[in-house]
Amino acid sequence: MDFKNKFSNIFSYNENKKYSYQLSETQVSNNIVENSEDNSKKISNKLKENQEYITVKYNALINSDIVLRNLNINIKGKLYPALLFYIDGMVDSDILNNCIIKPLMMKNQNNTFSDKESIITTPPKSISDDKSGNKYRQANNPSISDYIYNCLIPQNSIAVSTDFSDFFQKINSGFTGLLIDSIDTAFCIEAKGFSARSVEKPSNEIVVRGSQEAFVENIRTNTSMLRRLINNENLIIEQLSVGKLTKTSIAICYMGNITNNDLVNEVRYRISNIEIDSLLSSDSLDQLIQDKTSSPFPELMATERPDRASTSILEGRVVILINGTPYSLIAPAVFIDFLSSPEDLNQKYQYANLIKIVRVLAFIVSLFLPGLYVAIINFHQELIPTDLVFAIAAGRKSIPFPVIFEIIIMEISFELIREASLRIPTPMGSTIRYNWWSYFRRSCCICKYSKSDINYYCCNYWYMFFCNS
Amino acid sequence: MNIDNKIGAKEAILFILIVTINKIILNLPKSIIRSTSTGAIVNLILTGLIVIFFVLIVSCLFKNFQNDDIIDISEYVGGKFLKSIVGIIYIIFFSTIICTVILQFISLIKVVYFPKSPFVFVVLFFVAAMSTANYFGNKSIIKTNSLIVPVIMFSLIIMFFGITNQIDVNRLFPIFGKDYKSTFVYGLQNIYAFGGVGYVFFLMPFLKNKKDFKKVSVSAIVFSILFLIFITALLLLTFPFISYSEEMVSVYLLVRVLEFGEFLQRTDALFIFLWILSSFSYLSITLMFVLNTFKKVTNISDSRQMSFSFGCILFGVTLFLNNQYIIDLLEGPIYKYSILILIFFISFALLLIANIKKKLLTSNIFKKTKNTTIITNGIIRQK
Repeated sequence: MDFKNKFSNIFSYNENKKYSYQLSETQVSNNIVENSEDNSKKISNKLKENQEYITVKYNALINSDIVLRNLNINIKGKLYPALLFYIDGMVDSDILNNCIIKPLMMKNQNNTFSDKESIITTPPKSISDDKSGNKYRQANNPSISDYIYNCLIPQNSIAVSTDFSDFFQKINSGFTGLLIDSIDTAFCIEAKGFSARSVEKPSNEIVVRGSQEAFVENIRTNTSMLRRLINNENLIIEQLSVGKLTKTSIAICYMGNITNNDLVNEVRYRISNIEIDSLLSSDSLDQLIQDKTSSPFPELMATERPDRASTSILEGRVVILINGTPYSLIAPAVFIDFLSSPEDLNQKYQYANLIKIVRVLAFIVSLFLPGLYVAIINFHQELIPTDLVFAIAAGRKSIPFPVIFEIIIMEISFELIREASLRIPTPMGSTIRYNWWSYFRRSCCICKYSKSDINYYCCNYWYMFFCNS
Repeated sequence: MNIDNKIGAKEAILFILIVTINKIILNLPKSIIRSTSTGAIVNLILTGLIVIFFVLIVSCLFKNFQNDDIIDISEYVGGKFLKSIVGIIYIIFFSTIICTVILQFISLIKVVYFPKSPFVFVVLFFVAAMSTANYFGNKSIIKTNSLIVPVIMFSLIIMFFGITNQIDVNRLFPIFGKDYKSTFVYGLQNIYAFGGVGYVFFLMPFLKNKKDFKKVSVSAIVFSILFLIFITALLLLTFPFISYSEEMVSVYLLVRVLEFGEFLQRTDALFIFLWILSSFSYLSITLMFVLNTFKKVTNISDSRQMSFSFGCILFGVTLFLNNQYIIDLLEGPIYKYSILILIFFISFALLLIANIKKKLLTSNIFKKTKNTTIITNGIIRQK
């Protein structure tokens, strides 16, 4: 029997049970998320309808962080069913409990009318002048929504929405929504409490003497930093939103009495006319609003320093802040801006100008030196002093490559090293650096013993470079 | 004119300076020295003063035509017929300049830089560069020019520091040259050295602020005079044989003998590289004027598309003129007399006639308004 089983196992057909998924060309299943363009539906005065709509839109039965809290609100002696709607993780629980739920649900003395209190139908001109001790109530019955807005929610920022698109946008940015039966408006109460990165030192624009603050991802924190620095009532911060799906908040910041209105209008026009689904970074916005995307030269400057952004605003430029990105864009930017440093303002003008000249020279050298080297070595050797020509010729004696090939390889190597230093994970980086360090140290020793001076100096340079890095 | 193409005062000055700089490189100082010998400096001062005076008059005459260039003024004077004639003359004039400059410059750099390259490729290199620059628009040409001209000016000034050990002041004497006639009478023809004045007649529509026209034109001419005098003086001070020699490009002789200590010697290759850039800029600007004039004469909306067509035509003409004597003829008497006649005579006359016409017309209108009846308070009065 064992032999029979073994024989059948050898020659039997076993179906391949390995799972392999193949995406079909045509979609089979429906999208879970419906098209969001029909959010212009108005808020109904029936709470149940609104709740059902929200449940469908947000897939509340699937999404674990969507919270729908039903409650009853006592308004002027009557109970109204209400719904609190928020996204867990984006609201502050303390604010929600103390400033929204408690005032609405707990029995509020001021919310009830007693028969003993008289209602004055014709109140005096000035309530403070009346010494009769009467209690005054508003003679005309205010609407429920006005009463809730003015009396029941002790919160500093409340917005009223009448359609779901605006309501959902606020909810997605961290507001808490309050819907009440028999009212066709929704209250969006600010109770944001999502965790965000705190203000830290700038990582890429380091200065010795100067502000050590950098922008963060939260747009409101960034605008507050600009406000503190500029400290002027003429600073205008306009809010726009870009992206059909993400509706990313964009802030345009400028000085109303300094900046050219044409510039502001142009920036506003370009940003408002962006047709895109999502915008998640400042570089994307940069490419969408610049004149020519084919040009390699930037037209907007990105900075993570609030002091640099403030200086630009005070010069009459426009600063664009994007929610979710710690980099702001400064428009317009000219060539010399990219050779300036925030440190320049913190130093004496003589030294700052000298350093700027050095930067310009460094720019020219980095751009032209490889080409100049190839041209001089290949075609214009007479430019080099005779002794140096001999030294270079001796050094190049053993190199089999032509000069141009050598330079191209060098440029590619620099780019590879730069890319590797940015992308390599930190734990691996230190290991690789150690290996390279020991390799070049060994190469230096060999070169020194072989008396090849140029190679020795090159290897020594790389050894020092890796030691320091 | 598109508002994007407007230029400021400094850009306009550099715009006109590039003409003189290129002429300096292409043996203009030698031509002046050949005619006036050691009296070249005095002659240049005299002709320079005349040109400044001329430019002042031109700027005064242009006050009545704030947005027009010489082509529009010729239309005002003689209608579309005169506009077409003047336009065609200027197109031929600028085209000749382009071909001449290309040929002169190639005759230098082919010997130094490209000895083994075919002549056709070198010509194509220049023609392609200027056509492509014009295809990308006026703004790019003007801004590039603003970067190149200061570098060239600096390089020309730095020559002085490289040849200080070879300068001998005695070579300047006799300071009035061979005789007074050649310096002060026949030498007045050297006014053609300031051919940049011709570009002044086209400058007005390009300026952002029309009030800068006088400042721009006078400043440009003053700088041109100074540079021309500087290089001519350097040549005279350095080479005793310069009045009698027949070399093609005298300034190349200067850069050959430059020495900056023991480290930097034989830097002529660097200077030629800069001169190539300046010739690109000059040729691009001249082609820009050709296209602008063509646009006005033919009333087309966008002349940029014609840049490659004109490039091809100029390429063919340049190849056609491959005889050195024809080049010398074009660069010498033809260029000289065309500047004198076209710029200093015809264009000036057109401007003068246009101003007179405008004045007559405005005074006639004034007379007509004087003789009209005026009705005031129901009473008819005759003035």
